[in-house]
Amino acid sequence: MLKWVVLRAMDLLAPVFRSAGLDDSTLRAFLDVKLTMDNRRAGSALYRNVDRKANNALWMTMIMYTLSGGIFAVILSRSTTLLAGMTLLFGFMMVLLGMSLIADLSTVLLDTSDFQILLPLPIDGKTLAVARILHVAVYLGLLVLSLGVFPLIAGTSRMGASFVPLFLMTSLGIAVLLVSATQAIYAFGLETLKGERFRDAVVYLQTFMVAFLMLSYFVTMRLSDMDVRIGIDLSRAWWVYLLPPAWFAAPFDGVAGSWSLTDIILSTLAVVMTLAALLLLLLVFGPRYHREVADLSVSGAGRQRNRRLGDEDSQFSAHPGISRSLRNGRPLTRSPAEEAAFGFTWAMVGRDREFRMRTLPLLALIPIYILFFLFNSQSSLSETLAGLRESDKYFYILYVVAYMAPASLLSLRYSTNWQAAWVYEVLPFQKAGEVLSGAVKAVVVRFYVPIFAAAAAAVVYVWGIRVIDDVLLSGTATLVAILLFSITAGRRYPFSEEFVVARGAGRSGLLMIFVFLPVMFGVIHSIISRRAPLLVWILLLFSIPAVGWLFRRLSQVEESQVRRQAARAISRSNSDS
Amino acid sequence: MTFVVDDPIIKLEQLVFSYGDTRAVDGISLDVGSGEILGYIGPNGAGKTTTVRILVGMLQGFEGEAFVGGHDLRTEPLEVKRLIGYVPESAALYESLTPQEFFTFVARVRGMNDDVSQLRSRRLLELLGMKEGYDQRISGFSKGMRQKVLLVAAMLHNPKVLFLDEPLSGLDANSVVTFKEVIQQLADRGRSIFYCSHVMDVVERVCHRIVIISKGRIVADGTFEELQQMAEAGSLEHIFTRLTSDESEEQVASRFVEVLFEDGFDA
Repeated sequence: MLKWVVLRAMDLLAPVFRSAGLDDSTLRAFLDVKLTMDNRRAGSALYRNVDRKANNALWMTMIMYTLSGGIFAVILSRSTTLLAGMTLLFGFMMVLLGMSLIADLSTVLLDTSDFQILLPLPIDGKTLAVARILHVAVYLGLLVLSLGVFPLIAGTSRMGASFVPLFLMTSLGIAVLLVSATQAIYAFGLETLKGERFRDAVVYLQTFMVAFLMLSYFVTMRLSDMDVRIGIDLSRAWWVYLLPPAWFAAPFDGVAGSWSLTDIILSTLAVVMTLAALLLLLLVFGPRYHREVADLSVSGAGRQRNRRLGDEDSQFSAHPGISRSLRNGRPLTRSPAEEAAFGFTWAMVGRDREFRMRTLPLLALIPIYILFFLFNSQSSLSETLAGLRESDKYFYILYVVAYMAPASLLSLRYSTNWQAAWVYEVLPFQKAGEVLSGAVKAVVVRFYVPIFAAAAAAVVYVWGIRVIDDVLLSGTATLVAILLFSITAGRRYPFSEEFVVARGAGRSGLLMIFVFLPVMFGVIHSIISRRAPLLVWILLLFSIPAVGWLFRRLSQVEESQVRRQAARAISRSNSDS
Repeated sequence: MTFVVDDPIIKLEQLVFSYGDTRAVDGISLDVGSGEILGYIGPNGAGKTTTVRILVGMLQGFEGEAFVGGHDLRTEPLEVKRLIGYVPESAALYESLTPQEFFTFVARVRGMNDDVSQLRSRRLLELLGMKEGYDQRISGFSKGMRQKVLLVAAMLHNPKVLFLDEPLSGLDANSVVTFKEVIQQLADRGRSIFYCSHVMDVVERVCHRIVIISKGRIVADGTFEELQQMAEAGSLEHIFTRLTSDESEEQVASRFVEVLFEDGFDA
């Protein structure tokens, strides 16, 4: 359905592409094959129901975006001036789209897996670059449309029917600006850092960008509150010209009322910047970025830079010691096979780019969420700090950590190398659960324990030792949440699945359920702590054996209960049998 | 033609496996004895890899009987997996691990002590000419180096039966000679080898016995000399084409070229 619409649109636009010196039939063929692949797991051609599932995930994402659009509508309808309202709305929209562009769609932008096929074909660089951008634009467009539903209603009721075409045009401009900015950043990164180092840097770049975007999200929220309370007269502030959302908001102000000088300057900026971004995208960033990505894939083997891993770095170094036995998980694992899975996962999580790409941004969000929860009041910073000790806001800190934990486990199943998961099928594991419990233990020890320890130390420092029971109970509650997730929805071998954009974007749907679990624990815990403090100690006493029992349950999971993409791909690929 | 083996280590009785409506394996019966090198060959899509995947315990849901080392693959796949080693055809490896780490993982699952497995794997890889690569990431390896990692990982625990699917692909000439010799010496010491390949002259020289399958069925089973007599052809390549193809290969080739020149699109 989506593909059909996109391809019809491509047919209509073909003359435009041709006049821009692009090969329209190549563009069409590229989008056709890419959209087909997005909706499929590798080797699942026989399994139609799997395809449908991928589509469902996309629908879920779109519904979630539509709902988030509701917030925009509220902001818009209660803002004092149209300029302020639209600036805030577009600010929000840029943050959300930017996040999805960086987090999920970067897989498309930095995809080098198809270069072996594409590079030998007679496709010029410009066409290929545009094709890739269009592929991203399809998804970006869907998200924009979903986000726009509620704001369109709110906006039309406020300024009339002219809102609709204006909104669509400005959204298009924003999308162009965002894609161009992303491309510019990647092009710059590829230029300065070569090969494998760039890929590593991207992970950190993404972490930083997600954190930055999230921060601006909260700032926008605060601004909206400020606007409602005291009103912000943007048209008088000199820095309004530095705000990209304001450029695109100005035409609304102009069309609805009268065109002030500020409106005209800002609107001109919007048009000029969009055109400049488009030109840069097509003529400079696109082709250059593409050449660089091509280099990346050719030198991608990184043979020239294949450094030897020292004993320190290697997980299974021959020197015995505390750190070694910890990395091997020997004191924590119950069987050699579980120990093997622990060591393997420990080594992989530190290195698998896919895993780091999905996990690090999440971890970066933890401090920002915490800041947001602690200081999201109307009062000034010093007042907030003074009041903090009397409040029980430490629950936020502890349970934000809990909230992130299942998310990192959700990424554990993905790998660029997922096909290597055939080893699980060949090796004599007593129970498939041994792999799962070994892997979960490794992730818990490597990621969760340090973060929890830091959060716990901070909480005890501020609130004193008297809250230690709450701290400890939040720890075991998080473990229970992690284990419940692993035993149910998380029954997958680590690093055994391919990350597909259309489906990956929808993982938030599944995550919601398990995000909800720690939040629920947190609410119940805070109530118990207030009403019956003694019960906290009792629960703590019971939760420890519960964690042990759940780990044992996890290690008892049968092979038939584990969903295995690689195995399905194997049993499907009869072409080489 | 059936081949009688006393006390077989691999035993297949009327094995059938279907992907949806297509029967990839269609009633294969086969015995392999200890110390035997069996060449298992057939055209693309004949069912070779499917047979092997059933025998190593990767594929369930087959019909008929399949035993390895006396263990039923339907009820005791775990016991079978302990006994065997498997080199899949052009298999993926976790690129960000080093061979050392990969071997340690595999060996631990098989219950080997770290000291033993590391000493063994280091020496084995060194003997295949990869002294340098032991603690470097696999992502930088060439095809041949990856193949050596797969070979060592499959043989590290000294398995009773080795399943090899195109094991020599990507290896340099020296390693090919070494590995062929390794297989033969292992067979002399009573290990059985199940060898799938498209490289006919290697199969012809290395294997004690050759089974040719086509469309999921056995079309020939015997020593190289027996097959020569049966097909009245000299080389294994000729025997193979005679038994597995209806049309002469020259005819197919000329029709292939004809299609390219038929309708005028020329680069």
